[in-house]
Amino acid sequence: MTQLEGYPFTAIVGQEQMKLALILNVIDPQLGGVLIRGEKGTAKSTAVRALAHLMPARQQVQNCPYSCDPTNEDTMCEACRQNSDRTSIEGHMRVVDLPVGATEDRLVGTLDIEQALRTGKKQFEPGILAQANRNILYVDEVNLLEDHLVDLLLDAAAMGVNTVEREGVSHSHPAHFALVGTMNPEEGELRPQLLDRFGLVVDVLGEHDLESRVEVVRRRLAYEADPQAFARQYTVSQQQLAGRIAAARCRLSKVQCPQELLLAAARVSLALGVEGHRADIGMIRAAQALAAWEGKDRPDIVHLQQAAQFVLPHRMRRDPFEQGVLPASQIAETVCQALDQK
Amino acid sequence: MIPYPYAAVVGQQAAKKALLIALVDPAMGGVLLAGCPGVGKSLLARSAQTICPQRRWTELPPGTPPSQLSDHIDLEAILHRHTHRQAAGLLQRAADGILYADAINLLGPSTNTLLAGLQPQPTGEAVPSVSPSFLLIATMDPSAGGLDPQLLDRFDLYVEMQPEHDLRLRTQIVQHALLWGQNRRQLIERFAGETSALIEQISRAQQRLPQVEVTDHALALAGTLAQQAQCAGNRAEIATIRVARALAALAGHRLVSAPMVREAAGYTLPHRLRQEQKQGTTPPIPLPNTEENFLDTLSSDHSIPQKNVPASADSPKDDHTPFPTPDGSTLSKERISPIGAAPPATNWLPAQWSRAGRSGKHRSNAGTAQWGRCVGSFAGRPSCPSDVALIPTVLHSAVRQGLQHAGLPLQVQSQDLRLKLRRPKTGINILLAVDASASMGAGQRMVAVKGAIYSLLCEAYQKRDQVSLLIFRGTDAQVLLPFTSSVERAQRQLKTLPTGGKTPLATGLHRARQIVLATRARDPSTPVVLVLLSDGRATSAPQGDPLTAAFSAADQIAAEKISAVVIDTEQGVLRLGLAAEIARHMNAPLLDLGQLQATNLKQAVQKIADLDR
Repeated sequence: MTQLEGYPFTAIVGQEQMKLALILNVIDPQLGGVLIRGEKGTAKSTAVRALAHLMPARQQVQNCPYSCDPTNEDTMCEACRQNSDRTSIEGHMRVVDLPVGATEDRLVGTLDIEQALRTGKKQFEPGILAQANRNILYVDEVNLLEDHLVDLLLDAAAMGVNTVEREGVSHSHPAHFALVGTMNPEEGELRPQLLDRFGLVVDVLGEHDLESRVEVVRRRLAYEADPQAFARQYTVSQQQLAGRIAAARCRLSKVQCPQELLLAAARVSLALGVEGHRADIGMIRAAQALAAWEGKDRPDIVHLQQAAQFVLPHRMRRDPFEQGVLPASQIAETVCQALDQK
Repeated sequence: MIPYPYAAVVGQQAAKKALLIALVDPAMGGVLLAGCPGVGKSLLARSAQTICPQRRWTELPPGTPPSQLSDHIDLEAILHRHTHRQAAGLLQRAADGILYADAINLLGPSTNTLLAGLQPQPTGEAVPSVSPSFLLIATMDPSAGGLDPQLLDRFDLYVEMQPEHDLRLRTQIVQHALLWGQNRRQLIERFAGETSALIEQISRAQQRLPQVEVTDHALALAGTLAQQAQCAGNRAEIATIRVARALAALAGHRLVSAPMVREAAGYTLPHRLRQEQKQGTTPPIPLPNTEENFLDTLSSDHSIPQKNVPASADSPKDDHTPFPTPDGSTLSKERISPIGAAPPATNWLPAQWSRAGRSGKHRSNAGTAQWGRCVGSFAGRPSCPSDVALIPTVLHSAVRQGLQHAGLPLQVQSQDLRLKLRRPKTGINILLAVDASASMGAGQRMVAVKGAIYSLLCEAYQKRDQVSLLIFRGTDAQVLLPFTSSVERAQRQLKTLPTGGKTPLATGLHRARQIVLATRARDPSTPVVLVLLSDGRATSAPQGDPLTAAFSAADQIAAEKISAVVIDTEQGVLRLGLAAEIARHMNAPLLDLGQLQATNLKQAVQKIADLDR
């Protein structure tokens, strides 16, 4: 893999929860993305961009704007499905940015004006959601995004399909992506509907340990002085991490969740009064991904506890004003209790 | 995209039945599924396709421009065949089929009008149009906003979905979800038998439907129930009978019986309850669809279940520890009052709060707004490139050129130019200037004030308003919260708001004025409303007589034409009526805290905001 000049993921000091949450989403893109909440300067954006260099290779259809999976007829776009000579090439999962000033047209796609002007044909011009298919869509400062864009993202993220009806064009295409959003809670809250769509949440704080703080600065200076030399120091650890992630992805399909854990997850949700069912599903999926990450075939109570820490905190509110924070110890305890009930 | 099978949806019996009913009678207008996020509304709604595969399924994506719904110019026809033809809009394409709309409470007013089967007119009213008929299946989260009343009648059936509490069902939901994620075909196959049976059931019911008869007794019962629920007009009864007939057809009966009418009413009446009640009362929370609950409510005293009342559990901390003020002196006798029981904040607001079109006035500066959603286009000269609406321009050029039989490529001329018509956000900026002096802590005043503010915040949250909190006490005024859309932060500040010290009303008013002017300068398109909560008893000022200083500050506010509302928090037998004086100087309406109800405050703020546009 050619080493680009990004800051290496493995060079990020601390922030283990955040890094793990991102890794889990690469292992299982169906987890539903991560919301990273934290004050400024806590390596949020750095981590997400660094993730791009750890993405495993995968097959995709050549020249398809949606990078369709050549092996899965159910999820491919109409054009690929009907194209009998589609060729498959190797590609990588990537991080697609949602630009700050993006318009609706740019996000969902619209009429191809150039085509219209030149040939008078009505064609769909794919937008950012098209690029995001089978990739990670990164939205920085997601709480500052305009409401109507948020609504569009919600729909596509949930259903895995982007349906476009505008300017006389009617088109739909696959849009399976993991949504990674960052936000600074001081600047405003996210509506509960959007919060619920994020599979995992991580609250990051700056490093408080003096040594860690020093190390953060030291590494950043070294990186800025000579990015390539700095990155070379981490080549081995990066490769090891990428390998581990790839292995986990393979293992995931073999992971089975025992019935007691399914029941426990349901009990936990009920005990903590979370809204809806996404928490249950999220907990089990995350537990399975954690098990795969650790090379196991069955998730256990520890995995469920860890999963609960990621999946529950942002789903606690029932009222727009309830604090969406639950202490980690309470979550862990509830999980234990849930498992003890037979 | 392959939809999730209807037969594989776990639980949600009422919602599933509602969909079945709707598919039986082609004359059904719509089904509305409401519920909290993650309960399965969209999943279930979309799964309806699997039990009626012969009907065309069309989706209305969020943010679809209203122009897409109606028939519009066919670009290709013009350019290639030189004919001016209309291409079918989304509604036409959905004709005789099913149209699915998610988050129907968040659509724009024009879209709502079109969906309701009405045609928007230039004068702002809407008249019935010959619109294509289709079944509208929609979902919404009531806590995100109320439903436009125009659409109420569109929906024959309404179900509020609740999350499952049964452990076995919950785990089944997870199992199905996991299987769907791994291998869709397997799940579909597992339920293939049930799915076919359901398709068969619907088909048989459709055949039986024309022979189903309705007894006079049943008609009378439908009428009685609708009357008890105080539904407007006759549509509720008609819907009830229609649903009851479908129920009979599904069950294989030829006659509609009384229990069927009652069951039908459980679907057709909840969203129409008290639709007529305008200002002053709050509609009840929609009820779960069990006959017993629903009918009990009808006959009992309409006690409103208060789901959204915040826990005013903090006991008043009669905290006498001195609180340091910026100038170093300490205020004695600090009290932190709890937030009083707010008048019930509903999660079902009557839609007179549709702010964009409420007064019927168009904003004079709408077209030249620098930001906001693009909602249309108009002819004009652009002042900068980003003003040009590309696609309408291309379309106009195509029409002109196409009709002149000129060839391609398209040549855009200046007369073709169309500019973006932007609609800035509809929220308003509310500056709450709260008197936090010692006199406010007395009695239950602060409690009541906090309660009123809390319910205003609930409203603000839904309408995406920005709220700022300014308090004044002792000798100065302090901004506790700069303008934020995070009403959660406002509520947190509200909880810990202490009282104590003298009343520096003049200082407070000056500061408020500064803030309003600065906010206006920063964002001229959004109205700013100043809400002053005080008893008017000014007892401190930088110089001169406090009351005179306060009046003068109020005069300045009026001079700047700042929209304001004054809430008089004076209590007790001896009334000085100073707040009324302040209000007069400020040229603002006065509300009395004692008579204040949430809705009055909301309306007052709304009215003021509209005048400000």
